[in-house]
Formats: sequence, C-alpha cells, structure tokens
Amino acid sequence: MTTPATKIVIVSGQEFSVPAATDNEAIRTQLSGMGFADVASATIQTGKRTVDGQEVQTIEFVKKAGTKGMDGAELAQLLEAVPPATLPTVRSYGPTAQQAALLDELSEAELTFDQALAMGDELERALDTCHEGPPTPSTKGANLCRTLDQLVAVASVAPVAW
Amino acid sequence: MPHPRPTRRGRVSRACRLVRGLGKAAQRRSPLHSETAATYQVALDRVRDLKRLFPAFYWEHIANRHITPRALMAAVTAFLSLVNNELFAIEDVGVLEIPMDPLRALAYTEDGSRDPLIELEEAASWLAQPRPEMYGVGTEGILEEETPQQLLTLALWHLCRNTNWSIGVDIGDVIGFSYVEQDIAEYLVKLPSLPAGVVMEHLVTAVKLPPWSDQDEFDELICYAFARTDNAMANTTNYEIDIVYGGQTDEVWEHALELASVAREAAELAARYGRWAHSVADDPKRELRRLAKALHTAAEAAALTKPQRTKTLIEVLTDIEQVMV
Repeated sequence: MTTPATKIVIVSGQEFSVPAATDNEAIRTQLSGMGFADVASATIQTGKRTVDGQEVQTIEFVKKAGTKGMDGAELAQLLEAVPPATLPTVRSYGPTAQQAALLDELSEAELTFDQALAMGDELERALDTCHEGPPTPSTKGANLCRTLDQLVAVASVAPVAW
Repeated sequence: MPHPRPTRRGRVSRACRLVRGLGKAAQRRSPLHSETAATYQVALDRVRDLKRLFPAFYWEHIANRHITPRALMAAVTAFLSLVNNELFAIEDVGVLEIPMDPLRALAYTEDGSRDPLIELEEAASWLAQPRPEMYGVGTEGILEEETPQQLLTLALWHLCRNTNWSIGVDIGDVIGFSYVEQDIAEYLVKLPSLPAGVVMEHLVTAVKLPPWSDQDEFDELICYAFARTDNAMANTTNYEIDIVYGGQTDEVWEHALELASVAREAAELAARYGRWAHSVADDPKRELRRLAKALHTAAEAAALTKPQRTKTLIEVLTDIEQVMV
C-alpha cells in the first residue's frame, strides 16, 4: 500500500485536495485569506477516508460552538457573570395630578385671564399634556399580542419530555 | 383518542394582561380633549399678545374676566379688531366675525347657533398665523377685478415693456383681458414704449410730471407699479402670498409692531398711487399722453446723465503716463 500524495481538507461542507505534506496551519492561513473567516478560530479534527482503495487523511476545520451550544452549567456561569440591567421605567403620559387640577380650573372657568397669563409656562405645559397619548406599540409587538390574545389554549396530550 | 377540547382558560396570555395593565397604570385623566386644549392655547397666546400690544385695553377690559369659551372668543375678536384698526389689516378669511369696534367684540353673545369653542377651534390655525394684507400691484389683481389703479399700472407696464423693468408677460394680452374700456385700451397700446436699453433706475430719478399734489414723488410711485420699492409689503401681492408661498406668513405676532410700521408705509404709498391713478382715470387720454411724454423725456435725460463708465486700472495708468510724457 502506497502513501497517498494528497489529503482532504474539509471546511464549511466543502472539500479540497491538497498535497499531503502541506502544513495544517499553512492551510488555515490560506483558507482565512480565501474568505473562510471562521477557520481562524476553528479546531482541526483529523480523520481518515478510503478513496479508491487508498486511505486518505482528512483535515476538517470545525467551528467553535457559540453560546447557543452552551450546556446548562456554562450558561449558568455566563448568566452569573452578566451584570443585572435596569429596565427603563414605564413612561407616564397625561397631566400630573397638579396639572389635571389646573386644567379643571381652566375648563370650569375658575381662572381669570390675568391669573392664567401670570402662570406663564405652567399652564402651557399642562395644556401640552392633553396632546400626549399612550406610546404606540411596534407592529411586531402588536401582532404578537393579537396572536397571543386569539390563541386557544389546548391541553397537552403528549408527555412533557416527548 | 378524543380530540382535546379547546378551553377558554388562559385565552389572554399573562404577558398581554401585564402589558395592558402597565398601560392603564401609566395613563392619567386629561380633563380637556387635545383639540380643545390646542384651542385654549392658541386663544390664550392671542390674549398674551393683546396684553403686550394693547396693555391699556387689556387691563381695562380683559384681565379680570373669567376664562370661558365666550370670554375667549370676545377677547380674541377684540384683539383682532384692535390689530386691524391700529397695526395692520388682517386678511379676512371669514372664519370669525371681527367687528370694527373692539368694544363691540367684547359684547359677544352666544345665540345658541354656534359654539364659541368650536368656532375658535376652526379658526385656530388662522389665529396662529394670519396673513396681513399686502399692498402690491400684480397682474392677477388687474385681471380679476376692476381697480382704479389698473389704467395707470397698465400704462406704466406698457410704456416700460422694453426696459430692464419689463414685467415679463405680454402686456398687450394683459391690457386686452383687463377691464379697461376698449377705446382707451386701443389708445394706450398706440403710445410709443420706451426704447430698449433704458435703465429704469436712472429714469425714475429724472421723471418730472406736473404735480397733482405737492407731496408726491413720482419716482417712488413708478417703483411701486413695478414692485421695486424698499417696502416688502408694497412689493408683494396677496396672490403671491397665497399661491407662491402657500399662504404662509410666519411670526406675524412676534413681529407685529415692525409689521405695523411696514404696513403703514405700504398703505400710504398705495393710497398716493391710488390718488394718481384716479387723476389718470378721470381724464385718461390727456393723462396717458402726459405720462408717455414725461417718461420719454426722462429717458433722454437719464441717458444724458448716465454715469461715466469707471476706468480700468490700465486706462488710469495710461492716462498718468500720457500726462507724464
């Protein structure tokens, strides 16, 4: 049995044939330059394949798993390391209690013109709040809520771990 | 196996209920609708202008009144009446009835047929940015209505049609479509126009017409006919503001006092032009003939007194060299 002159390089589902003596790191450098960005951090797995009765070495570049591939312990560790984020407070709209009282006074004719003008921006700001409305939900969020609203709950007949 | 029966339980997800709950928690009651609030805002802005521009009237008649829709309407219409009388004329778009006498506006009474708040709401955008009356002369005014100024204006446009102040439209057509009587129009178009190349800026300073009033300066009045005065409101027509600028007149109230001064000058100029125009209309053939003669004489005089061309540096140096030799 003769030694095969080539070896097979496998990357992203594609296979290349290179001279058997080519250094694996040289192949990595070459592939990175060809646009296979993940190759730079990929691990190399070697194997063997029989081609035309000859055993040929295979070099496969396997991407490193991201967080999606974490197991439970790794995920728990990651979550512990992430600092807690403060969620934005819900934005209130409409007049404050004080502004509402002022608007009531205005609409009930309890203010004179001079009292109103003497308030300056205070009355203006109270009137401005009448133009405020609830924040508009995103279309995606609104659709999700609508879908969830109309979703009929069905008792599961399958085991949870099915 | 029986098909699982749908259940109503859990129909609205907890997440949705939570989101809705948050929405309700954040909302506070607004005692006024947005439109009503906006109306109050615009009306109170005008009352603030009333206080600033007419303080005596404000303190005597407005300051201590309680704010009701009726009182708002009264204060706003009184303000507009004062503006019309003392500052500048505001274009009447027919949305509010503005009496001549501001005190009459204060006596505004509801007859039940109209809601003052709704009326004010409909007038809100106009109240925020009304258009002051403009005093300019334009082809639209000449073609759309019979004005006393039209014969004089058409005469000036015709006589100067070949100069650098040509109005840019076929003046023969304008005369043809105007309300000028046919025999006068025919007489007018036969009057010789000034020759091409006349520089009107030079001509107007040389015009001498027999004065029909001691105070009139014809150069300014001729400039007025061609929208060439120093006064923007005398150079602009209502049509231009409405059509060319989409009726937009910004910061009218902020600059009310400055506008009043410009409007007063423009109105005086328009009135003086109107008096001249009336004298032309009273005896058209004689006055048109005199006008044509005066302009041709002035054109010749202007040509004679035309300033010398400024010498170039080379020419100046050549002169110096010749003197030295």
